Amino acid sequence: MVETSGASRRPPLESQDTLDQVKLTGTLGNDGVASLHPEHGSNGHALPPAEGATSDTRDFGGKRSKSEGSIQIRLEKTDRKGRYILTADDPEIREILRKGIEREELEAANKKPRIRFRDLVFTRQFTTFDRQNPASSESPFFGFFTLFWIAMALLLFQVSMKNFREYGSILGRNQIMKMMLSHDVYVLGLTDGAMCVGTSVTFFLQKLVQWRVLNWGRGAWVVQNVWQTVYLASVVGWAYFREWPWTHTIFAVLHGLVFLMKQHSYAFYNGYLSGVYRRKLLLENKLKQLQTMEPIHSGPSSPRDSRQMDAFSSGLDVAELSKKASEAINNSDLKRRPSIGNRTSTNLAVEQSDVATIASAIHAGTAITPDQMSTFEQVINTELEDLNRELAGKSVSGAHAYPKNLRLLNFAEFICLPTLVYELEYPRQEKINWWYVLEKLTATFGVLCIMMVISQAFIYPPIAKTLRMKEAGVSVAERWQEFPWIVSDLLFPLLIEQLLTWYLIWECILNVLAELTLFADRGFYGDWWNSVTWDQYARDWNRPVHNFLLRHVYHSSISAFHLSKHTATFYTFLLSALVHEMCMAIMFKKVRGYLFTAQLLQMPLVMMSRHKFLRSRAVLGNVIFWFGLFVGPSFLTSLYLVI
Amino acid sequence: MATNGTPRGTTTQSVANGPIIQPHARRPVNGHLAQALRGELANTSSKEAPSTAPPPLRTNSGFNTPVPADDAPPSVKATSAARRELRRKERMFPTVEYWSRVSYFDPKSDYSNFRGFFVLFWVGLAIMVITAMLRNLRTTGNLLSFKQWPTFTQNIWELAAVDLLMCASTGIDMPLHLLYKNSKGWLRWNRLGMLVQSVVQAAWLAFWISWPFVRQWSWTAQVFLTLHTLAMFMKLHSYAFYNGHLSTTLSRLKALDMPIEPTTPMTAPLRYPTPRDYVQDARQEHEDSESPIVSPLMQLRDDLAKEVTSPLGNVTYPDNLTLANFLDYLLCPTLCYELEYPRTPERSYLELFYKTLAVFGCIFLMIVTSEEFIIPVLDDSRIRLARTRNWIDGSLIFAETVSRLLFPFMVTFLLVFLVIFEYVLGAFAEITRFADRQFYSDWWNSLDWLEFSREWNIPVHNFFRRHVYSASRGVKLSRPASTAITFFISAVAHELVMGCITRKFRGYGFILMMMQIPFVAIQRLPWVRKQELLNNVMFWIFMIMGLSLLCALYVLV
Repeated sequence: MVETSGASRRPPLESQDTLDQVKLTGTLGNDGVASLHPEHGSNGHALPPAEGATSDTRDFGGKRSKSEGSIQIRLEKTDRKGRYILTADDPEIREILRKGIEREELEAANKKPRIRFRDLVFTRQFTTFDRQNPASSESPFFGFFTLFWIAMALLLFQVSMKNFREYGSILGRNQIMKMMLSHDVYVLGLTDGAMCVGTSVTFFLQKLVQWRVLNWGRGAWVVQNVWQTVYLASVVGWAYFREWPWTHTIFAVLHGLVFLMKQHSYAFYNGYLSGVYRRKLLLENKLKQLQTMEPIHSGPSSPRDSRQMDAFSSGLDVAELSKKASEAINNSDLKRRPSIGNRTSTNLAVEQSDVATIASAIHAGTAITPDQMSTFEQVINTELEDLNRELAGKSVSGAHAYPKNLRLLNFAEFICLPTLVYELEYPRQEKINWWYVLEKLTATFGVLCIMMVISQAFIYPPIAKTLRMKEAGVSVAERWQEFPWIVSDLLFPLLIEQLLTWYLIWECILNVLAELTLFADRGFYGDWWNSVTWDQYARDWNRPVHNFLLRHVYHSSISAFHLSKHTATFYTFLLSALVHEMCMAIMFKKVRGYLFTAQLLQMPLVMMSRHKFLRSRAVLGNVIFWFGLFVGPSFLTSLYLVI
Repeated sequence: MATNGTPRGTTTQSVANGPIIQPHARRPVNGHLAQALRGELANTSSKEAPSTAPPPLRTNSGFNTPVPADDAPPSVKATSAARRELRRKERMFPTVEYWSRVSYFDPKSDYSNFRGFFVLFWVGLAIMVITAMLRNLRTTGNLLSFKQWPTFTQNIWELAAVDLLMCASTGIDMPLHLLYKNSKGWLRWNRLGMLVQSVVQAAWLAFWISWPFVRQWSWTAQVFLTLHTLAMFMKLHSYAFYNGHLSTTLSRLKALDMPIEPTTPMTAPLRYPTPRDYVQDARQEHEDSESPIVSPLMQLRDDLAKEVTSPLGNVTYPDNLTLANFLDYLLCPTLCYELEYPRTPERSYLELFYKTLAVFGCIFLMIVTSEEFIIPVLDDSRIRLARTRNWIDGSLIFAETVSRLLFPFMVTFLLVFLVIFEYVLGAFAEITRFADRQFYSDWWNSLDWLEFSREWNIPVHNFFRRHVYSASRGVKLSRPASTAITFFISAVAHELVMGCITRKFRGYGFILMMMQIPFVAIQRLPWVRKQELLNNVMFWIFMIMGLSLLCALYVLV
C-alpha cells in the first residue's frame, strides 16, 4: 500500500482545491517584458535561471520555439514567489511569446465553463494520524499522542474504580447504554438496510435517462430533487413515528444525509454526462450526414472564393475555421483549445459556436468544396474528441466511460466508498491489509467505549440535573442562573467527546471502510487543529463533505445560477447551517436556531480574520479558533437544554 | 603513521598531571616522538620563539582562522565551518557542541504540523483556571483561595538578599583561578590547585545548602535557593576545572617555546576519553587521511594551541579571564564553561517580554493547580488515613490518592518542564543573546530512562557528561560504573531537593531513581528494545505514576 513515502504526503492545499489550472499564464508588456507564473509556484522558483528559461519557453511558445534552438532569454526572479520577468532581446521570439501568451489568455478566458465536473483531484495519501503516514509516526511530537491515549486509559480506570465503589459495578448506573438499547435496535438496523436499498432509485432513474426515457436537462433533474426530498423526509418522519431515542434518530438521520449526498452526486454527475453523451451521438450523426454529402468539384478555389461562397451560404468563415482546426490539431498535446461552446447542448439551431454553424450549413444542404468538407470534418472530430474525453472523466483507460459505468455494481461500490463525490474512477490499492483493519476496528470500539464512559460519568449528571429542574417546573429565570455552571461542567467532557467523535469517524471508521473497499485516497481531513480562521476549519475537518459542498453546491450554484463567489459561499454556509440546525432540532426536539446563528456568525468572523491585524498573527487566530471550539459545544448544548 | 589497533590510554608514562586527566597518545609511538624531538632540538633551538601564541603551523588547519565576513562567498563560509567542525572534534577536553538552533516549542521551529494541539493545551489550561475561579466565587465568594500565600511571602526579603550574596560569592572563582595560573609552585592546577578548588567548592556548597535549614525557611524559599545554589555550583565547578585545564595546557605550550630540555614534559597532549567512541574513531580516521608529514613537535604544539583557543576561533585562553566574561557566563543558560558561545545577532525585547510573561503565567497556573487539585486531595486523604486502623483500608486510601493525583501531577510536570526549559532558560538566552536554545530534546518520545535523562534536561546532562561521566571515565572506571556514579550523584541531588520540599529524608526518590538502572538494563534487552510504542507507553505510565506516587509517599507516609 505504501508506494513511496513521498506519495503519501498530502499535497499542499492550494493545488488540491484549485481547479484544473492553466499551465502558464502571463502578461506581456509593450516593451516585450513578460511576467509569467508557472503552474506550481514552488517548482518554478527553485530552478536556476538558465534552466527555467528553456523549460518555460517550450511550454509557452508551443512547437515553434522548439525549432528555434537556443534563444537568449533572461529570466529574472521578482519579489513575488513563483513570478518571473522574462525578457527576450530577439524581436522574433517576442512575437512568439506574445502569440503564446495571447493564446493562453484566450484559453484562460474560455476555460471557465469547462471546470464543471473536473475539479477534484483524488490522490493516494494517508490520514495524518495514521501510523502508516511517516509525517505522523516520525513526528517529533509523537510522544504526546501516546500521552493523550494513556491519559484516556487512566481516566477510564479512574471512572470505573469510582463506579465500582459507589454502585458496585464498574459501569455505574449506565443510563446512556440502557437508553440506547432500550427499544427498536433491530428496527434501526432494518431501517438502515432499507435506506441503503432505497438509494437504488437514483440508479434506475439514471438508467431511464440513459435509455432516453427521460431527458436530464429537461425534467429528470427535477424528478431527482423530488426523490431526494422524499427520501430525507421519510427518514426523519420514520424516526419521529417510531419515537426513537435521540441516539437512534441521529444515527439514522446522519446516515440518511450521507446517502442523500451520495445520490445527489451520482445523479448530477451522470446526468451531466448523459447530456454530453447525447451531444456526442448528435454530432456523430452529423458527421455521417456530412460524409454522405457530395462535394462540388470546382476548380482550385482561392480562399477568397470560398469565403464569398460561405458568406453567401451560411455566413461561415472557413479560413478562420480551418486555422482553428489546424491549430487545435497542432496543439493537441497541450489538451487545451479554444472551447467550442456548451458541451451538453443538443439544440444546434440556437447555439453560437462553430460546430453549430457547420451543422446548420450541413442541414441547409448547400454545396461545399472538398476543402471545406475536410475543414468541417476536422472541426467536428475535434469536438467529438473533446466530448469523449469528458465522458471518460477520471477513467483514463476509458473502461468506465459514461454509458459503461451505469451498472448496478458500480453504483453499489460507490455507495460503499468513503467519499461523497462521484467519479468514474478513483485511485485504488492492490490488496487489503487485514491487520490494519483489525487495528482500526479495535480502535473504533475502544474509542466508542471511552466516549460512553465519559458521557455517562461527566455529561449525563449535569444534563439530568437540568432536565429534572425543568420537570420540577423551575422558572426560566432560575434555570438561567444555573446556566454558567452547566456550561462550565460540560466544557471539558464535551471537548473530549468532540475530539473523540472526530477521531472515531474520520480516522477509524472511514479508514476501515477505505481499507475494505481498497480506496487509496485517505484525505479525509486536513490539519484543522492549526486553523487560523473558521473557513479553514470548515474546509479541513470534514473533507468528504467539504468536497461535496465545493462541487455540488458552491460551483454548481456559480455555474447554474451565475452567482458571484461571495454569494455562492454564503449559500453554501447557509445550507450547511440549515442541515446542522435540522440535526439539532431532531436531537432536542425543538427548533431554537442557536447553532444556526452561531454558524452564520462565522461568516463575519471569517471576514474579520481576513483583516490585516489578525492575518499577521497566526497564533492569536489559532487561540481564538480553539477557544471557540472549546466553548462553543458546551455553550450551545446548555442553551438548547436550559431554554 | 597511526594505527587504530592501539588501545587508548595505555601509555607507560607516569601520570604526572593530576588525577582526573589521563594520558592518551595521539600518536602511539612515543619513542618515535622523542627521537624526532631530538632531531628538531638542534634545528629549532636557535629560532626566535613567539611570546604568547605559537605561529600557525599549517595553513589548512590554522587555529585562528578569522571567521569569514557575512558577505563572504558560500565556499569560504563552508570551508570555515568545516574547519571549525574538525577543530571542535579534535579537542582534548570533552567539549559541548553549541550551535545556533531553536527549541522544539519555539514559534520559529520547523516542527509546526501539530502546533494547534500545543495551543489547545494552553487554551485548555486557561479555561480550567477560569472555571475554577467561577466555582470558587460561587462557593467562597472569592475568586481564588490562596492558602499558600504566607509560605511564599514568609522569607522573601531574606531570600532575595541571601540569593544575591550567594551569586556574588561565586566570584571567588576568579581570584582562585588567577592564583593557580600564576603560581609557579605547589598551587599550580595540576599539583595542589585542584584539591584546593575542590575543598573550597565543597565548603561553599555546604554553607549555602545548610543556610535555609539553619534559618528554618519556608519550603518554597528553600527550594528556590537550593536549586539556584546547585545550578551555581555546577557553573562554578565547570569554570574552575575547564580553566584549570587550560592553564596547564598554556604552561605546557609556553614550555615548548623554551629550549627543549630533558625535563620539559614531552608526552603527547592529554586527552579525555569522550563519552561516545565513534567520534574518536571518526577523528582517528580523519587523522590518518591527513598528510602525515608533520614533525611531532609541531603536531604537539598545534594540538596544545588548538586547545587554548575557542571552537569558534575568536577567543584564546588567558584573554577570557575577565570579570565581564565571568558575569556573562553566570547569566548564560548553560552549565558548561566554554571560551565562547554562538550568539544571536540581536536581542528581541518583545520575545523577552513574552517569555517573562509566560514564566509568571506558568507559575500562576501551577499555583492554581496545586490549590485546586492537589492540596485538597492530600488534606482529605490525610484525615481519612488518620481515622483508619486497618492497613488494608489504609493502602486502599493511599492507592486512591495516587490515582486522584495522576492528572494534576501530569499537568504540573508539563508546566514545570515548560516554565524551566522553554521560558526561564529562553528568557536568559534572550538576555545574553545565547543562540543555542536546545535546552531539551524530544524526551516525550523516550524509549528508556537513560534516553529520558539525556534528553529532558540538556544543560545538566551536558554538565554530567563532561564533568562527572568523562571525569570518572578518566580515572579508568568502566562505562557502567561511570554511569552508576553519574546516576548516584544525580539521585542524591534530587533527594536533597525532595527533602527540602517535604522536610523528610526518606529516600523514596533516591530509590526510585536508582531503580532506573536495572530498568534500563531490562529495556535494553533486544526484544524489549524493538517494541517502540510499548516502551514509550511504559515510559509515560511510569512517569505519571511515579510523580504521583512520590508525592503521596512523601506527604502521607
